[in-house]
Amino acid sequence: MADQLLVALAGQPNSGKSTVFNMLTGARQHVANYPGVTVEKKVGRFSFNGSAVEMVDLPGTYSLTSYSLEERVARDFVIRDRPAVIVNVVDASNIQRHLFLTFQLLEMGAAVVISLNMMDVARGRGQEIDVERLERLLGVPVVPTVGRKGLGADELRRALARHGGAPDTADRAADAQPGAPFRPDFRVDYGDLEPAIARLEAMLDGESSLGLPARWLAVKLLEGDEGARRLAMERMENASALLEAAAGLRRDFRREAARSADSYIEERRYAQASAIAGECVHAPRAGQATLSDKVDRIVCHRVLGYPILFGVLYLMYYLSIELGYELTNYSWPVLAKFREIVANILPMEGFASDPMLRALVLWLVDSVNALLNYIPIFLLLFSYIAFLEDLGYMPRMAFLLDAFFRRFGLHGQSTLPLVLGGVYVGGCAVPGVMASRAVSDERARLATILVVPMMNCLAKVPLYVLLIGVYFTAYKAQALFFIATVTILMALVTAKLLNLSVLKDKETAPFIMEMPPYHAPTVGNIVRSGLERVWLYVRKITTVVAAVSVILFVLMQFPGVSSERHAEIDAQVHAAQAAFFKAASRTSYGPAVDTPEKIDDLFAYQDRYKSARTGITDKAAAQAVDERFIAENEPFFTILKPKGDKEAKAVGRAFKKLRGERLRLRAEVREEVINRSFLGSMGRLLEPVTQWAGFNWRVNVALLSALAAKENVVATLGALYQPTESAAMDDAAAQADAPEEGGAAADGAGPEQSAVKNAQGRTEAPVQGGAKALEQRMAEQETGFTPLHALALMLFMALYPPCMATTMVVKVQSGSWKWMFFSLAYMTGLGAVVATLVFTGGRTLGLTGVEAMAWFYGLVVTATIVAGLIKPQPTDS
Amino acid sequence: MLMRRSWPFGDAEEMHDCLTRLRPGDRGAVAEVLAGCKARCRLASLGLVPGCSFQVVANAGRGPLLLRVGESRVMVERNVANKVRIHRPE
Repeated sequence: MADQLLVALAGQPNSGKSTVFNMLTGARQHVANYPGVTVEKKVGRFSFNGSAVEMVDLPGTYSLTSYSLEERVARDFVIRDRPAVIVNVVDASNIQRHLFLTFQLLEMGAAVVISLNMMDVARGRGQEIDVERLERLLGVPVVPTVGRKGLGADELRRALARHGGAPDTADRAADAQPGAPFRPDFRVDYGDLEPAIARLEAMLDGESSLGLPARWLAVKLLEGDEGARRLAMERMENASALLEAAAGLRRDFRREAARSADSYIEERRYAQASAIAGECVHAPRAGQATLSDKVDRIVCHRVLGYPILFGVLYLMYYLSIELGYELTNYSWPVLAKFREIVANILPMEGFASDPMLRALVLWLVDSVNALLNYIPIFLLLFSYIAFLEDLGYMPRMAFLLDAFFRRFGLHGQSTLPLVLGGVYVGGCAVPGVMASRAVSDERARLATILVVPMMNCLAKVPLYVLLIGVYFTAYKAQALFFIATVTILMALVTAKLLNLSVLKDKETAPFIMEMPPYHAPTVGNIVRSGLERVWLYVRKITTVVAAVSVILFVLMQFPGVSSERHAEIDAQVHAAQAAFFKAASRTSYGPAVDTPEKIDDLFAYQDRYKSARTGITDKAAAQAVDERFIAENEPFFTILKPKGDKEAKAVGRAFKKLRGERLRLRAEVREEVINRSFLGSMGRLLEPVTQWAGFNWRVNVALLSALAAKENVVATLGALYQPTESAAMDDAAAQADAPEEGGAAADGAGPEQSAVKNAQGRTEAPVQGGAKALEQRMAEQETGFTPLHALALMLFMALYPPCMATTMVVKVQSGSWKWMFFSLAYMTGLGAVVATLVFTGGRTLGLTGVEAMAWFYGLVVTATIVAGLIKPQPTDS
Repeated sequence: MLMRRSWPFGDAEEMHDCLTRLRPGDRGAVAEVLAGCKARCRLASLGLVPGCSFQVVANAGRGPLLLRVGESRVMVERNVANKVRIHRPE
């Protein structure tokens, strides 16, 4: 305790508080939440002159009232944790307004050190600030800083060590000068209220249990502050007399002055701040239009502002989704290589089924890889957002869209979360929900958190594309437009409905915000912020996904194939192997492949060879790979690439046949396993209900598997719609030919893997390779499946519960399990209702898929208009 | 509105006008904030207390207003702005 100095960092929004925090603490910081609430708590550490300092970043607040969560959190921290020093960051270019908070910190008796930040901006505006005079007037040290450039860090550290009674007393004594100019008893003159304050202070005289200045409590009680009232009751033996007296004095003041005491107090603070600023700041160009104002004339223009907003959002989409997706072409091979290395360590593949350990670990790696593959996309996305935040565009965005979103119970600040979630096509609910933290109104924040998962995340797109490609071939563009836009409309309607029902009693905040001037962003900050958020994503998400994928694996793999079936399959395996042995024994290659183990080796050898040759176009490099494999096992190589060797060709033919048989058996086992699995049983159990939405048990299984990650839908469908025998033969032939073509045809991945890779957001020509076959397989095998089925499935997918990763973030951001479960339940319910309505309704009316689509769109547009017309609840009374 | 503007006499009470009526570029001073405590307190912490003068930067007839208050630019929701009474400078 004695060797650590607790320092709090307070400041109004846009004071550059976070830059000062970074400047003081550097990289040594971590993020948590304040206990019991969802407000982010950043803690950083540094040492100065040998003493350790722990610095807590308080939420940025304009004031310290009980009216908002952030203000309550900041105030409670000062009251309960009693930091030794509070560093108050003040915008030097706007001292008057920032002093409003400073006064309240001083009144709480805190040891305040002012970081007079953004001195460069103030100077740029031609302001001259008399720092010494400000120190004298306020009675606290004032240190000029430029947080963004790291200027003034040491002076600030020194001031807070001295002022906060650093444990290093020798140093302190040396520094302390006789007659130090600081008198911590600065007070705001409350004019006509002073007698009332004095009366309350007198009542508090000798009250030692309070732990706060009596004057602070007196002023707060006269303001009618709820938190102060509660504090008094909590900490004082006999608070009721005091509270009654305060209420009486408030009434008296109101009667005499014809106005409320609280508004008078605010006015006095303002007047004092104005006086101090007037004395210390010399501003020849005050009140002139700045460059920011000129820019805002266009950016915030009632008409021009919207094309610019659209451009900014389009650039976000382009950078992250288009460019980021390009980058995944470079990152995916790294992840694939990792998978390959893991696969090589694990026990080898069996003939008809694989060892459990291999299957589990590879499943785990695939699940995590699917998410890690988003890293380039997120890095660009988060950096771009950091750029917009640094620049100061976010408040402009809120300004432009507030009126629109407000109609649906959302908030101007909901724009970013919705865009991140994927307003058109391609986004991710995880950063979307994370970004909802910025929404300052609790009701709108919860509504945002609850509807963001409805947006079209990257992982939903492959299913849309698959279904549209199969069932809406003539209307591809229209169908994609339909699903991309109907989701935001449904989200708006849902947000409105939530507002009118479950969120009715939630706290709201009026939309009154500062619009900060534009700042030139710094590269360092953008990169740092981008990396920081990606790291947060990786840390939070991968663990959850890994855990859920293990559970899902168990649900999909157990109880496994029945023992009778097992025996049957074994017999078929033996028969196929025996046929191969027979063919091989007639040649000189017989001894090389005379046991089942050697056959497994040969398959593994072929796989390794294929992946080694993947992507190699250079002849010499290909030659080198070939030589390596020849050195490893020459007979195997000759069997796979016989060239002129007749005997090897014969073995090769037999091997091709065996390979086809093996594929067929593996597919059979896989289907059998899923069929009998817990998940399969669940899918069948749900069929009587889901049939009204047009889902059979296979679709149910695919949707259940999507709980871990939406990518799984296409992957699971790939496993369910197994290649038929002839397709398997074609497939086998294609794969067997692969070595001759340098492995280019098969891409080294099974259908599932390529589906997962495809799930990474490619919207044009997304279904290639194995998944292309899936389109055909699905069309062939689901003869009863109509466009109406597909439509219902797409809509269900759009509204379907968020994946586990999103669900966890919903829990974190809403701060409660209750909202997490609510989000799961209402989205499932809504999805089921909509899908049933479309499917059963469409079938009853005899509509085709496209007709149903048009009707549904009309219905949703109408609902949106109606919802927009319902008058929003007054935000403040 | 026109009548009030051209009205040469009248006491301060009659000169009170509503913030949302101001057009971009107009200046004014806050006379009274009739909104609830939460909104009033937030306005005060951004410098919008009775007596404070400001200039309207943007008022599109819908959505929030943008004001210049001292060195700050402040966005005010229309519902709240409707409850802010102001003086116009003569």
